[in-house]
Amino acid sequence: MRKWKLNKITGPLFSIVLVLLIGVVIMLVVGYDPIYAYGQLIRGGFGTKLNFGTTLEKITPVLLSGLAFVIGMKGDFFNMGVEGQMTLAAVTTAWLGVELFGKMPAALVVIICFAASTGVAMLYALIPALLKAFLNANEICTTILLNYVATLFSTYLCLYPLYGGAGVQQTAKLDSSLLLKYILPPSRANVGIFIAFFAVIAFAFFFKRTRAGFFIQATGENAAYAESIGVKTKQSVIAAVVMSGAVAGLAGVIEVLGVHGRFVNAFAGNIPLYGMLAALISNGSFLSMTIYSTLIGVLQAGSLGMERFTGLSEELINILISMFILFVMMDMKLGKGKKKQKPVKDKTEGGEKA
Amino acid sequence: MVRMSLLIGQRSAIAISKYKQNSGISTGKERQTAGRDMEKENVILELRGIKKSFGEVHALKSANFSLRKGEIHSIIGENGAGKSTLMKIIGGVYTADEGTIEYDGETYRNLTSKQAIDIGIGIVHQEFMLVRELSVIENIILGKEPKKSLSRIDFSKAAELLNTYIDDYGFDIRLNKKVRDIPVGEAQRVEIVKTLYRGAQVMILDEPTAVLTPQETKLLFNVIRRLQAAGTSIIFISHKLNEVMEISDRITIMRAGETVATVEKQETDKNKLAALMLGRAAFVGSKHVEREVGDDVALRVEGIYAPGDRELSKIRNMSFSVKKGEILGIAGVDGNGQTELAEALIGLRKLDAGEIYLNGEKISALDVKQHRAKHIGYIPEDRNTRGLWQERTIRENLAALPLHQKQMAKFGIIDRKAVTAYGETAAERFDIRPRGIGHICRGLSGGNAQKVVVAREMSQPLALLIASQPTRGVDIGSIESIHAMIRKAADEGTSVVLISTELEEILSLSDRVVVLYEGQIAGEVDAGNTSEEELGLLMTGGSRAKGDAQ
Repeated sequence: MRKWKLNKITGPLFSIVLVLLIGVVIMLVVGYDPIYAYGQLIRGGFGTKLNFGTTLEKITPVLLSGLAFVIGMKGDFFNMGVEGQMTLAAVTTAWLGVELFGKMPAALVVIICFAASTGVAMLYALIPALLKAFLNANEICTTILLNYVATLFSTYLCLYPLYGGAGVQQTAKLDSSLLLKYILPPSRANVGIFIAFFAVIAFAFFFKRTRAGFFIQATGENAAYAESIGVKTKQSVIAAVVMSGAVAGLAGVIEVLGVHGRFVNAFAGNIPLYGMLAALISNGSFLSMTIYSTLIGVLQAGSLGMERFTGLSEELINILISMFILFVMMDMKLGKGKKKQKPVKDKTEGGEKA
Repeated sequence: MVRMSLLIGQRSAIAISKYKQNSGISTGKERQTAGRDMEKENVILELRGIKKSFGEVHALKSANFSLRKGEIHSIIGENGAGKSTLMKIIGGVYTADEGTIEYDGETYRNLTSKQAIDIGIGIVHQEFMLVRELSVIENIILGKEPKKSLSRIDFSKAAELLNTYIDDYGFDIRLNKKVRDIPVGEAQRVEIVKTLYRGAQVMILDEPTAVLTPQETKLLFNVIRRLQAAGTSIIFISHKLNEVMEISDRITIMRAGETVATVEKQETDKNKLAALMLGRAAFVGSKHVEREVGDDVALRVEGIYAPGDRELSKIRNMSFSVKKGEILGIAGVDGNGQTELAEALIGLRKLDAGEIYLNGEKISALDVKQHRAKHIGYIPEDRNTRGLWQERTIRENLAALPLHQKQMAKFGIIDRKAVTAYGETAAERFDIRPRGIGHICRGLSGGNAQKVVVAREMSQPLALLIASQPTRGVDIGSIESIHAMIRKAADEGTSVVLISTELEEILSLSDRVVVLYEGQIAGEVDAGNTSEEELGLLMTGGSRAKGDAQ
């Protein structure tokens, strides 16, 4: 059916071109100049120091969410709970930042914020991990439900005990000495981007080169095998999920200390979703997850610029991102289906009847 | 001879065609005209110059095959010789790159699987294509149900027809049982009836005896002979030379994607066949070797109970012991507790009761890693899941066990050089053919894949080796080398528990043989002085020999 062949690289590239063309059609229909709009999109992503900074700012949390999801995948755990883990870590940071400020050196407060908040996220991830390892509870179910608990609890916290005033659903502003250093002022890009990339490299190394990483992946891909070579599979799954939670927590801390300077209710928005999709379309590969996350970050930042100058809603870009992911998924599925073209006639007949 | 068998077959043929007229089911048989039977030296199916490649792999280089009407034609060959590919081309599952298929006077470039069924080709696959939750009769008529008014399925009509098969061919099947409740041998007969019901004139049996006991195999052979008598042509695929010599009229030998020879049974013997098959002289039917074994008991199993995946206790009160350097063969039909026993011995399965001791030390409470640390090797029966991590390299699979130790991973970081060195040594020692140990395991032939497992488990000195079906689905060359490795380990003092459904393997390797039946030891036999019949009876619960379960 498909005469042209798409591979790992040309497939996604083709998807990008296709998506951009669809964008052209939409813009023409709605009555905008697509060349101007795309120009603004690129300018919005890279044009000025501010724009480029915004791009970096947007990449950080998507990249960390993607990383968290990939780590979960390594242990065959579909961590839909990145949102909840991220949110709880963020609210913990906002609380500790206010609570501890002035009682000890600022640097120490920041370290405690990082450690304690990722710790909270890890503990929160431990719940579905234990449920999966010992009771075989479906992790998609448990993590989604726990997301509600985490986000609603955080909403409560920032509305009541940690209410920051001004009639907005957010906590009080943290002292500037606690905030992560901006790298491209006036944008909110901060050292968090380095932390994120470092985390990706560290975990890629962990899974490629260490014994524990090898055993966790063995468990994720073939638990029966892992068991028989003496791997404690329950521990492996739990370790993967807890690490995944830690990275999700890291994303939350960086959003608070680096971007917002406070906990803003529902700050996560589409971030965990995009991270998850980047991880899914890259099939667990750290490198392509990084590339896709970066691309999504660029488009998000660019769409802000495009909206400012052309009036085209940034939602258009969200639509294009979604369509891009859809195309990449289709390409993956089609590619797979081609190889497994082995009709087992009796089985299908049985299937229809049964 | 052929003429006579056609006469015998007439009765059932009439019954079938009578039924078909009523129900509107048509088969290839009706298309045959009487005159054509005599034409073309009675050849019903002929394949010429079949070639088939999968990417770079030439599965079939040049295959020629002809099947006479009413003959039993065996195809033998090592794993990867192309037997299954050829059958799948006949059955329309694969399309050939080159060559022609001639069936009953008509020439086809390629068949589709529907065409194949319509013209009367039926395949009984190795894995049964049955719906476990449906009854036997429902399975058989599925997709071709006789109907009465209002589109209701006419079960009584179906049963009537199927009973004629059962009577004529001596099938021992129960139509109203659910498939999940019937034993393997019966499920296989259901598959055969299913292909008959669909009008098969040519029946392909793909390694049908792999899952059967000797008694069940005899039953199957009776069925095959009756099918032949009724005029069905049969292609019988097997690894087992004994069976091929017993059942066939002609035998085609395949090697490396080519059909190297077709011989009349009378004009050949097992040694000739094996030589043709391997392309080199091979020793057939390894003989039992008497070995000296000391008196020190190494493994002691005391009254263990272990759960199955569904049943509460699959292993029920089993006790045995193995001396240092002794090979204990555990024979038995698949599913009588082999998996559970092997997993209990390595610590993968928790015991409900009882104890296991190795050299006086209790090991039954330890986990798998701790078992490994006591120098216990484990060749799992299922190399595709438990045995290998298919997506990873041969090297990584080989080094997976010593990875637990410090020299392979300092501070938890894998020493790649050490892994490569270890992998190379193991590949060399255990003759793993594709020398590139950086290749992933998926795609390895059965023999090489199994050698990777064996090499991993036996690269270090062992106190105990649990070998579960160590040569299942492996070519003869690899079987020989795996057997040699096991013998060598035993000579060096490793106690071996050899769990296998291959009697020849059990008999030739073991110093002592016990038979497993329904989670218990049904009896012990003398490996050097027993018959397949004695063993077969023990394996099917037919008799209890000396030495009770205790």
